[in-house]
Amino acid sequence: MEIILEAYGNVYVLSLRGKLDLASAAGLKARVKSLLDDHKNLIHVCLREVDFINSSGLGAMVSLLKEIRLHRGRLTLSDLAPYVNEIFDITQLSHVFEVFPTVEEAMISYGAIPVA
Amino acid sequence: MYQEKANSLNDRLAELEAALEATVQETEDLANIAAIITSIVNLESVLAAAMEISIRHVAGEVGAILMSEGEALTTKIAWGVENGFLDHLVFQDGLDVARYCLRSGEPLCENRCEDRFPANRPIRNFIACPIPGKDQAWGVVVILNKEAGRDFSDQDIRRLEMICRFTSVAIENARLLQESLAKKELEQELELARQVQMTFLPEKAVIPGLQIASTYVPARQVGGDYLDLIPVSNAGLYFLVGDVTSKGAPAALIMTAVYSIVRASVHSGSTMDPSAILLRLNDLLCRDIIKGREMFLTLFVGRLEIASGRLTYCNGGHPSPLFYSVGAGDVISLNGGGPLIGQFPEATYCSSELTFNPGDRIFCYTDGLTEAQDSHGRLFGLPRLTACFRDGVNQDPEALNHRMVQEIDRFRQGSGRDEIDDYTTLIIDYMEESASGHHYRYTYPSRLEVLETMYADLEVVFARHDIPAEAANPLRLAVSEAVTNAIIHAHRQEVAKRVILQLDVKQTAIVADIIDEGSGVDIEDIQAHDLSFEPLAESSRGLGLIRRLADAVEIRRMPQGGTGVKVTKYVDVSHSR
Repeated sequence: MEIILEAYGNVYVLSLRGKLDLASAAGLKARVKSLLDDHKNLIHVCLREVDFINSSGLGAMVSLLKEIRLHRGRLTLSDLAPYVNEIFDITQLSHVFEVFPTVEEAMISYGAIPVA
Repeated sequence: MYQEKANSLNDRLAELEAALEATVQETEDLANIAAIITSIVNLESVLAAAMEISIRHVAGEVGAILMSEGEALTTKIAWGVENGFLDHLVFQDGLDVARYCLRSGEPLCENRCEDRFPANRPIRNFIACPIPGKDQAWGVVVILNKEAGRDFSDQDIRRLEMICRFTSVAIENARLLQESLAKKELEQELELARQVQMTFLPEKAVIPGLQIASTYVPARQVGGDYLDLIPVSNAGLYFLVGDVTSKGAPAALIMTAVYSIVRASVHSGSTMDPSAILLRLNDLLCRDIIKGREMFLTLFVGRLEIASGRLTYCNGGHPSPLFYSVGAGDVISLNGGGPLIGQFPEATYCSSELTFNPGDRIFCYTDGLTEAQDSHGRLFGLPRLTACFRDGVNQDPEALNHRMVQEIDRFRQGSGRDEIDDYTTLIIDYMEESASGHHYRYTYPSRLEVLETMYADLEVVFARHDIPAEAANPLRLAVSEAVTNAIIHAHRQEVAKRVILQLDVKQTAIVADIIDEGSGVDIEDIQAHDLSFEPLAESSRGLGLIRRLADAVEIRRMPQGGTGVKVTKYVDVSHSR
């Protein structure tokens, strides 16, 4: 899975591309861990290019949420494809995560200004 | 008087000290010499250094080093004398100093020998010493004329002997290094050749209507076995298994030529009959490539038309493939064609035909399989191979192939034979393609990377049958859950354990069946599993998701002990092909 990292002020946006399953979850977890180690605890994950997620992928997202909260940070999500959204709904995770329609709306909620 | 005695004792003490000093110096010198000479790894530099050190340490005026090359003794380094000068210094028995010394294997030294050699060669004295080797001496060091008109001493002889011993070690090292470098270079070239050859091997073939498994094991880095699968639109699938006699690089080169000729033939535009391919190969190999050398090729060529199941084949002297017919319930060998290829320019080849029915299977192999030997030198043999093939008629090609390779390896265990022949296997199943639907079967090793392969395999099937996203998405999810579960929980990522995925695409439904080789689960426990989703749990959503998204889920314990998860999703595929 491809992961692109961008900074919007002090918010770090991870844009994922591919399938989120057990094979790809490890890379995502490692990426977030290194951010947290760097005291960067405001993290947004854009799922626009994620066309597939399964229970392992969901498990990884929950684990990230807990880890980020442990670091007194905040995790937001955006751009869930209809199918991914359905999986979040079925598993009732839509209520557990802060989900925004777009990255921009999520950034507004942080009060973060895009870095030029 | 006491004074005199004391003086004399003092003198003696001084002498002893000087002698000790000299010995220490000598030892240090020798150690230095050893260190210098043995640190050099290039043969020419070793000899140059040995010459320089010898001249200096025995204080000679000129010298030379001659090396044995078979029967001959050749001057390699000449210091102050012209090449061939030493040949004239005949010492005894018609042999010159160097050759006499080499023959005796002992150091040779003579002082005041002005009269021994011709007057135009003013040689007062000399030392010659062999450079010891493992079986015979590497060569001889000869030093002529001690400086300042002095004589060579016993110490000079001992020094030169010592230097020659060090030189011997250095020469040995240099040779070994050179050999290992040459070997390494050859190995690198062979590795490159292997990589090139491996690119010839057909990629994992995904051909709708067929299930294919194969193995290609070269005995050395490059092999003489030939395996190719060439799908040609309108003509069907060409499959070829062959063997070039002799192993290693020469065989691999012939194999490469065969590869090119075959590919050029089948892609020539018109449909090539297998017998025509063999005829052409035989002609080119006899005339232009093998040209009467003692090499030849055996090759089986088949062309399978997938829609009709019609197989046209021609066997050029290759071990007969085995054919299993579901209808007859029996195994037959496919003979007929012509002689081996590349030796008989006048040979003729003719094709035979048979029709595959769904479930029928062909198995091609090379003699590396039947000629595998056990510790008693017994051959694996065709009867054993046929029995193994017959026993596996209910296994899918991948599993049967895997089992055969394992069985051969087990048979060969303890035979102590490192030198194995190349071996190649190819199994092709003709799949059901009837009103009951299309059947697909895949086998994956237990590592997470196969998830990618699995998604790709699913995409091929979904695309082929125009499966709409509403059905494809939940199926993909269900399959990924079950496969992940099999790899992580049932197999604990033991790569050798296999996950089997079967897909049945029917008129009204797609059924995915995922079977593992784990130790099984408690079905009742799973049935009773609470399907509500725990918001902050990091796992155990899989089964709930499968149940929620699929139309039917059946979990069963397999007779062999593993677990099967069968997932059904209803869909209307009547509009698809």
